[in-house]
Amino acid sequence: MNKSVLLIDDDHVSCFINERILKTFGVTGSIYTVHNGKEALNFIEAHNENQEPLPDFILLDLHMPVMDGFEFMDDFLKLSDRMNSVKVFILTSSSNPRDREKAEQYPIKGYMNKPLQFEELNRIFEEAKNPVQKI
Amino acid sequence: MKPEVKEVESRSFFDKRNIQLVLLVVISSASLIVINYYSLKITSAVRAYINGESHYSKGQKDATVYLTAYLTIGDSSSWRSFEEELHVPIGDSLARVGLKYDSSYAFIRAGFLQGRNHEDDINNLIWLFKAFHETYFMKDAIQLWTEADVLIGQLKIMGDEVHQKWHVLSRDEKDNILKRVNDLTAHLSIKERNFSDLMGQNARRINVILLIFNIFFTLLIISVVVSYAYKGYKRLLKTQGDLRRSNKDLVSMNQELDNFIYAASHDLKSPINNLEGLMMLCQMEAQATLNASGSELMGKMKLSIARLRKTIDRLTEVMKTDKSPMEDLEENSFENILNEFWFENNYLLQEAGAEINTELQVSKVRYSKVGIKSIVQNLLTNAVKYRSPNRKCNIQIKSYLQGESVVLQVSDNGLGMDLEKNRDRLFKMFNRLHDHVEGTGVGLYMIKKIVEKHGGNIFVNSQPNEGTTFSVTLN
Repeated sequence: MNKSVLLIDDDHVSCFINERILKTFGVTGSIYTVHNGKEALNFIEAHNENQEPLPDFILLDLHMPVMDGFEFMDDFLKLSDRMNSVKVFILTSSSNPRDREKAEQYPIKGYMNKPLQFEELNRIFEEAKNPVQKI
Repeated sequence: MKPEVKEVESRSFFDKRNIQLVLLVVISSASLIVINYYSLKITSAVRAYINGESHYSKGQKDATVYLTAYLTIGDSSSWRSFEEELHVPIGDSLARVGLKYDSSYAFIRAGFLQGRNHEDDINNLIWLFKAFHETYFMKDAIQLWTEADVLIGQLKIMGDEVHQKWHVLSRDEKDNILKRVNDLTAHLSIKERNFSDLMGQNARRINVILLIFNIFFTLLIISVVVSYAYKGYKRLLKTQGDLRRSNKDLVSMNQELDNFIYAASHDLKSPINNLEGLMMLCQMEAQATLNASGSELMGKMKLSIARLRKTIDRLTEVMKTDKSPMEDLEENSFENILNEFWFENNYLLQEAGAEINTELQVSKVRYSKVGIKSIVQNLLTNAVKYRSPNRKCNIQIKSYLQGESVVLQVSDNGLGMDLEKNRDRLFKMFNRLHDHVEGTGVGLYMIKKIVEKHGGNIFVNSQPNEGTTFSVTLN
């Protein structure tokens, strides 16, 4: 499955696990890892300016230092129309329904609780088959 | 954040300040009643004096007319009429003398009645004279009255003289007497008019003074009432402000506590999620290389992690139940709630081979949706989990009315329990009576909390190895 994924999570162990799970699942594209929203924005801006391909998927944690998942989404959506092609999924340990309600205000493709399950991955890659919709 | 707890000021109606205000109102009202009573009394007495003066004046004038007729004709009828009419001012004169020298009530009354005053006015006439004869406005009037009485006396003397000498009086002497009578009448008329004017003037002055008092006390009452109402309004505003602030603090504290629960749950679950992820990777990547002992160890690690996750989930649920006000009241259909349970726990029920019978005499209940779902979930999963291995699991669900309360009852034919030994710890957190199945020991604790928050109660009846019945009153 030649798709690239950007993992945004401050928990290094969680990033390690998710990266391994993705590879085990059969993801052959690039898997990038950053540890907060700010780093993620820098990464995406750099790719955007250099006209490099953007990741197909973002797995975004919500509660992170420096810049959390919500703040990231606010700035990410303002970057450029190219961002519409990136499918964002929330992947969090939070069971707070307010987090879910707030996240659903953004044009995300799904909301998942950790740990990442194969069933959820199947669903994500089903999304990849759908044509990109303008957000 | 700890909210500042402010005690809302509560004041008794009978505090010192209120008693002072009430006393002021009572005194002012009593003063108004007294002032108005005396206003009426004075006005009535002054009217009686002016009325009496008109009888006095009329009697005197008629007497003069009859004396003039007698002087001209000399008939006895005119003489009798003269005496009769003069009798009226003489009566008033006697009453005045009686009042001045503190004569008996009967004497004074007789004088006023002779003066053709109305019987009902006599008490007011006496009262005004006695109460105010030393005051400047009555003094002048009494002086005029006294002077008029002297002239009346002269008229009487003149009449008697004419009566005694009528046959011997010459024409000139009669003319001279007639002239004196006319002069006397002119003087009396002036004094009578002045008396009436003075009494009228006095009445108006007294009324003005009483009106001023009236206005003063009325304004006093109004200002006390307005001041009290204004203070009450200000106190109400302050109390409302305090309540709003307290409420805001509580809402904020509640939200922070809520966030704390989720944050704690999040931080506790993160490493567990990682462990679960790592276990999953181990299973996928190392399963083939593990021997039987390794696989068993792996399985037990997974189980322990799953138990830890469940405990944290339940703990979060308990904390949320403890702090939730359970105010999401709505009409809940028992059938819908049970259908949701069947749907979500289909696997568990099938595995247990449970046979469930429902008898819903009451179909709906107004309750917190989260609360009723949690009650049903915990009661039914307990009935399934603690089923007897020796017989088919049978569960009875009933809803019925008991008085005004709706009761939900769940009975099973499971393991049952010895209530004599366990009643005290049955509803305590983390207490478990059986350990052969997975559980956290918070289910019954949560049900009790939810039920008590709604003003209801939970009852249990159980026999070891026969079964258990839980009855919940949903008020």
